[in-house]
Amino acid sequence: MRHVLQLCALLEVYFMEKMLLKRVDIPNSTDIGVAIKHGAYSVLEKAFAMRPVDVVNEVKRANLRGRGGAGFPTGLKWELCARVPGDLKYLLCNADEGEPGTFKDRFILQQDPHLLIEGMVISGYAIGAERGYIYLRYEYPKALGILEKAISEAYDKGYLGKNILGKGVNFDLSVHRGAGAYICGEETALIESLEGKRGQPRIRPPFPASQGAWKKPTVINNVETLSNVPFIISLGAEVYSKIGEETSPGPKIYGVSGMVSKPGVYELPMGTTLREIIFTHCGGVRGGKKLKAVIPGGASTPMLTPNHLDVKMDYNSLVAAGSMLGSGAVMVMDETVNMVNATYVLVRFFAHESCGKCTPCREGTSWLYQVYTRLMHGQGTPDDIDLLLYICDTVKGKCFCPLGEGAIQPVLSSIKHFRGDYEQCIATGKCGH
Amino acid sequence: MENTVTVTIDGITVKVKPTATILEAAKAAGVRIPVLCADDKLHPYGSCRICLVEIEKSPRKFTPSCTTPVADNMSVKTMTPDLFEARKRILELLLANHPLDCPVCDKAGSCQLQDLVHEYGLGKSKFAEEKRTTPPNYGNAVVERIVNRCVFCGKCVRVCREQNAVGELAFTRRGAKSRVSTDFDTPLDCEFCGECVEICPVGALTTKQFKYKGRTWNLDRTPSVCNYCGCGCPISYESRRGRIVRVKSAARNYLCSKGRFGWDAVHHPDRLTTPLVRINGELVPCTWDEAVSVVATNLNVIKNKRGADSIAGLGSVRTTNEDNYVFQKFMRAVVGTNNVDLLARLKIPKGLNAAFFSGELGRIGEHDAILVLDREVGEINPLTGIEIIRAVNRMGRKMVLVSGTYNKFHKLASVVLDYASPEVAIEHVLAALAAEKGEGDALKQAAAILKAAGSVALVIPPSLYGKEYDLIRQLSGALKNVTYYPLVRRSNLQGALDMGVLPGYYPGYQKVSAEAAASFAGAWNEVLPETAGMNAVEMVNNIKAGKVAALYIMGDDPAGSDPNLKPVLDGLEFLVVQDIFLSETAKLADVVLPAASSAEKTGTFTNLERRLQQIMKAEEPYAESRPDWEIIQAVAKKMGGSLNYASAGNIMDEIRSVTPLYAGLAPCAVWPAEKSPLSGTETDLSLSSDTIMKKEVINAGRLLFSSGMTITRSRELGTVQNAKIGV
Repeated sequence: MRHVLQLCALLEVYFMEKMLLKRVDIPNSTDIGVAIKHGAYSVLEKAFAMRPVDVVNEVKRANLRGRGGAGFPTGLKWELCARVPGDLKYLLCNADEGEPGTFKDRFILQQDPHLLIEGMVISGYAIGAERGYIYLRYEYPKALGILEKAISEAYDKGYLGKNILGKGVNFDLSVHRGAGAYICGEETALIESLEGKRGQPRIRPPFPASQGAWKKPTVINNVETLSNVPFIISLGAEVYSKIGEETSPGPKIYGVSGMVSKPGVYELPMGTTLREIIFTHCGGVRGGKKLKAVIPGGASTPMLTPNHLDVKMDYNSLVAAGSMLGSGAVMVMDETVNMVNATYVLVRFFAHESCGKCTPCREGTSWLYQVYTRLMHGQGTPDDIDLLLYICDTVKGKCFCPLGEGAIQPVLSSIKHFRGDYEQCIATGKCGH
Repeated sequence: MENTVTVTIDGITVKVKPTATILEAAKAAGVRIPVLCADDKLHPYGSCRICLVEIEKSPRKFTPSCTTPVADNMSVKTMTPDLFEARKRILELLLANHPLDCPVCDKAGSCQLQDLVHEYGLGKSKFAEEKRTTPPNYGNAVVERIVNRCVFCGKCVRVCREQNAVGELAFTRRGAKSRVSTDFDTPLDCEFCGECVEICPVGALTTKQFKYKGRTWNLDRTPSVCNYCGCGCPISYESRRGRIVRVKSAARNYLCSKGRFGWDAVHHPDRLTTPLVRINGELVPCTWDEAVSVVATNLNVIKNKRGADSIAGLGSVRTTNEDNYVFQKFMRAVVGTNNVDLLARLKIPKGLNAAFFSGELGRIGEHDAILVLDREVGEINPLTGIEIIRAVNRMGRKMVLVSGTYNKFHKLASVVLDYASPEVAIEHVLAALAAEKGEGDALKQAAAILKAAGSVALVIPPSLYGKEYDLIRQLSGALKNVTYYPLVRRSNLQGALDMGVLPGYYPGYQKVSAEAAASFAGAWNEVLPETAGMNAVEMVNNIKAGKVAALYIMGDDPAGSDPNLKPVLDGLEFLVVQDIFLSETAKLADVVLPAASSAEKTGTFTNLERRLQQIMKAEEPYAESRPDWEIIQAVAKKMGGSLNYASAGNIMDEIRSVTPLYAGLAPCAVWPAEKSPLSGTETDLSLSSDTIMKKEVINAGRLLFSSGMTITRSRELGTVQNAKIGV
């Protein structure tokens, strides 16, 4: 009987087009009544019937990996935190979606906030946290209103607050609005910012799982990660882990932008190839132009070329291909794009967003920006390519947090794959648009 | 037995605590790792990235040693060709936007960045872009901020917050635009301790006081002790061509604004230059010979006419042990009276040196809980305040603070008891301890913390009267292992008491009696009075009654402390004042003798911990001024006495021979409380009086910057004072 049920669930998954985004197209999907009608909060009952440790184990067995970029196993993170003794623990939702090109979380936040809330209630129950915060990017004012309304509705319906569903589970949730810094997407900087301090990464160890917000055990998960949790519980780890790649299972929201016919968010199984994403789902390169470069996972992931189109978009495959999945923000550039110009834009972003704490990132990113500015003004010299590589080498492996490391990726990969653009730019003094 | 882990640093194996960082392990192994942002007194920060090391079998190429904890059997390399190159690159980045204005930078010569660049031999930088510049900030009192030189190590920000609990400085802006600044870039409005300047590894923070005064390699350094409060922080006078240009902290690694910047009072033009003698109602300059003759003659005449007991002397809590010893010996052996006392006894905690002996300041953090009965601890004894902050911030101790108004200690306290007077607070705490319940949560919490503590540090206000004293005794009976930390305003109160500037006690608290008199008479080769003399209060009353005709004051200012004493002093036949400035009292004197300041003489101070510390001469005495003991010796000789010391060291030898407390007391050692003859008795060395100096003449709150005659003559601190009141 159990097998039959599992099979049914499996079939349902196979035929179901979308999980994470299944409610986003429903009119008024942010309304709690509409959301409940379409299944929101239906998993709480099942989750609360399990012991917290079983919820953790279920997520562990599902092999869910963090969707924020680093791909850390979520179950393991939870287990570390759940094991730390103490009554007061925090669950933080990282909704500081600041990586250029990334807009997948915004979709959930604005279209289906109740999915996130449900995920957070279950996650909080699992790790023993009765207090949650959604750290929301400052630049998401629309999501702020929607989230606050959704949270107040959830309180009204008893899905948040004391004694949820009469099961003795408590969970309080509120939105904390960021102040406009990319660095606060880094989990320890997020905690600092949440505590009211300057957004700068903290020393690890202690890791947030043992000493996070206000020195209490804390779990920080991405919006999409938390939104996966209800499905893991409802489907069960075994069924869930059948979706997508074996090493990184589950559905993945890819945010495709740039020069494709149909940019947007696409929920596909983890491990869908770049080719399928761009050409099958997004309708190919806009205007029938030739594809030149793809950034597969947001600004800090190394660029790929048309030769990499058959790479599977999952954590391990992309690393093998010399890039990273990051947040799954695919940016597509066609043949008209000058890669010096494209990299300049990215480098400018990182120089602007470096928090200034550690030497390599603070000085390295601003130096890179100065050199690129020179290139863009047609004042490049033939030595500049080597200089850029030298600066990247100076920064590499020495930074406090991944920001600096990410900042040099577009430079390194664009020089690696598109050195011709640089040479031409230096020779002609013209660097694109 | 604490568990340890074994770590190998460059082939040297050491055992360290599992919580140690690689940097600490390297220190234990005697291996130097270069650092910029790390400092022993601060939490690790990890911003400069100079301290990178390589760990064997680590997935990371480079690991910062200051923030990475050790692991068992970890093997670390601190210097490889790759690391050399990596550090060189970091230095190149730091120099990219550095102004390289070393020729005009006050830090040159003691700059960590300069030293590292020298060590790593940087050649031509690949950086050819325009340097980022930020205008220097000259708009602060005392401190200059040359923002361009900053290496963003954050030490100033952290020392201000972690050590001082002030948090005046912070990083503002972001990325390459970030800089150390204040809220809204307003001028500094803080304690002006200058710790940020001291800790700055480069020349981004310098002092106005030292600007263009000298190059660090040309300075002579004289170890000494600060003279501004009872803490007695070790300092180093730095002088150029025999003139002090800067004071830096020494062993204890902390100085407050007074200690660091207040020394310049010794160069104030108000300093007395020559002896003054009153002729026709006017104080006129004269020679030393004349002045000494006038004093000796007048004292001899009064002594012969009205008896030795018509002469009284007030010693000083700001001069050295040697000065005070010679002073009391002069009064007893040469003048022949025990009328010798310290005015400061009117304002010291009752029970000091009998019931209350101070613990060592550096060990406050060893107590489980700290009960602070005086919220002004940070102003009165700044080091005590710092040690309390350190205990809370670094060692996680619990602090209970009695305070009626907000100050920086509030945010550190586990519980704040909102009482203006400690008296009521202690009563209520006692009740809460007894009843295991109190009115209000704060009392309950405080009682719980104090009860649970295995040991308690009790910080006692500098003035303590009868009832409070009884309550504190009662309180310590209700707590476990109490160590007292009485606050002491003056630098050598303890030493002056120890030296027997007391009407009833010879040096070392040996009670005045026929036997003791005989014993000291033997040692001193003089005849000594056998009965106790007048204390300070009695002196005042006896001056009023006409029984005391002459008063010899060394380094104190009764008229300045309490204007009501002016008419009393006017009633004297003969008043001698020895001081460094023309104090309110000196203005009334018949003879004023210019004394050398503590920077201009050698001797010892005994601080509030009863620690004997050496002060050293950093400058020649100002103008014609002389060390106090030399002046007294000259007067004594003129009067026919037998004082004959060649040096301060000579005097100390005699002190050691007549005082068991000081016999064999090593420099920088603390004399043990139980050795005091008064230990455990109910003796009251305090002279709390209802008539004299009852009210604090000095307003609370101004203490840190202007608490007395000397500090108000510090030019540097004057600028602070002006900044504070908006002049």
